[in-house]
Amino acid sequence: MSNMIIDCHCHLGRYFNFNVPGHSPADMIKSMDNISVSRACISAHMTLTSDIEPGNEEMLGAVSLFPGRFVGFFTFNPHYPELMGSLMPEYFKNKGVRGIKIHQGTHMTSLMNPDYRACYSFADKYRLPVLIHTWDGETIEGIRELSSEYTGAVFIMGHFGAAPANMKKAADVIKTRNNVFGDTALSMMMERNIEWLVEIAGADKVLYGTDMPFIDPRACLGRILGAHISVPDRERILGMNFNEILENVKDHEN
Amino acid sequence: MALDFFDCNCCIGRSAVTNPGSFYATDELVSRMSDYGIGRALIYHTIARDHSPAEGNLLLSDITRDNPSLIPVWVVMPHHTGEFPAPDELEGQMRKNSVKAARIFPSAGRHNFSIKPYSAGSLLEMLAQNRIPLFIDIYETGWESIDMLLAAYRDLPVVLCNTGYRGDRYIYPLMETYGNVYLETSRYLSHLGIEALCKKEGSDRILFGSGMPVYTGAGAVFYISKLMLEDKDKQMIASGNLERLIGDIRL
Repeated sequence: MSNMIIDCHCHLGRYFNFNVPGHSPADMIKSMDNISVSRACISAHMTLTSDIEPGNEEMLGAVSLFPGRFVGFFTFNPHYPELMGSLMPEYFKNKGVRGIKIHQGTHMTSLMNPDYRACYSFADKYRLPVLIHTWDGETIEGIRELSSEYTGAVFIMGHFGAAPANMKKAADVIKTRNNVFGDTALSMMMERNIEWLVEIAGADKVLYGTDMPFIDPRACLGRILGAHISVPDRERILGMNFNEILENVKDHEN
Repeated sequence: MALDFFDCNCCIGRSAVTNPGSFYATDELVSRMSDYGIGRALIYHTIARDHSPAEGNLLLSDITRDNPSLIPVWVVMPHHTGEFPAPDELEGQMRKNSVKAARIFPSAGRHNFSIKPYSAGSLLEMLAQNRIPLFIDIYETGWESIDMLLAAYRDLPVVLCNTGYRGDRYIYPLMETYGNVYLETSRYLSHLGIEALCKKEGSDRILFGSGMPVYTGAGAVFYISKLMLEDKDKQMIASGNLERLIGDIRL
């Protein structure tokens, strides 16, 4: 197993629509220890479907509870531009918060919502990763456009477009942009899909992500460990690629 | 501890739509099973699912005769239209072909029939009398129909497949209520969900499945291998529970 595994796509907490048995920070650490994952990037479920403020607090609480194990991702909700404008800089004063989460699906908007611009500019300035729920062609095209405008920001296509046809479209964007990546978080984990993603996007643009605790990470990790790819490619996917992104993040001025 | 894996959820044969990385040939299935450490598998034929159960089922015998690690599952449906054998005839055919499980695809987009007694009653009675496990993808019936099925046929082992990670609020009460319901693991992916379910309901009704050739075989095996359970529970999930179900068949 790789020496450094970083899960770039995780959440935290209960969810309204279904039971999440291992939803607590301690559950997630137990799970990470079981499969030798050193760090996980988290945003709280509450921020996706409910109150953005206690949800982001929940994320910060977990980051503080397990320093060095969780990388905080601040969820940006464009329906509250003033609140986001005041909260976001405060959160990034904490060096445990190193990314932004966007879920335009549950927030029922699009990436081109003008109220997202503040977050893109912020990410551009601090070279932050922006994890975006990427499930359709419109979002992929949006990332194509935004990534050329905000070249300092790092755009992560969460779920890699989801279905194979969209994965191919996503890969076409990823290959042409230095600042766009795709992650492996999927509930429909198809046979030898990792090999194909490496083929169409390149191992240096694929990131290990699982959607824990929405989804148990073990099946996702197993398909990468069992993939017919080179050892260096596997190590890049499991941790090196994302570690380079994190090392490039610029600290916020306190 | 190395686990002995017996996969309860595989199919073989070419589909109209395929994905990169998938496969359809028997040799490839056997090769990938070996690669992932899966010793045996229950298989049904895609032609039985996507075209005609009566035609597709019969294609399995040539495959399983040459590959003892592959065990036949027949896709079944009601007989009323004459497209499929009546239960008494089917019973004999299943015995003759050493079939160890059945599978149904009753949804409107697939075989398009009712599983209520007026339609599938005699078929399901025959399966129940012979304790032949019945495999069902949950999206083929929806959860409410499963309750009806389990209540009406208490001797019929029903294995719920492809349940996803959102089904616990149905799965828990179904397992509490009915001793004849089982759960297949390939897409039961709620975080630490198998451990939590085992704590509540025990490990004896959870069956390892991969979903190959569509879903990841490597991931399915690693998932079970890394369960935080005692080895005896992991072995039951990996193969023991399925062996017990097959051993109970009276056909």
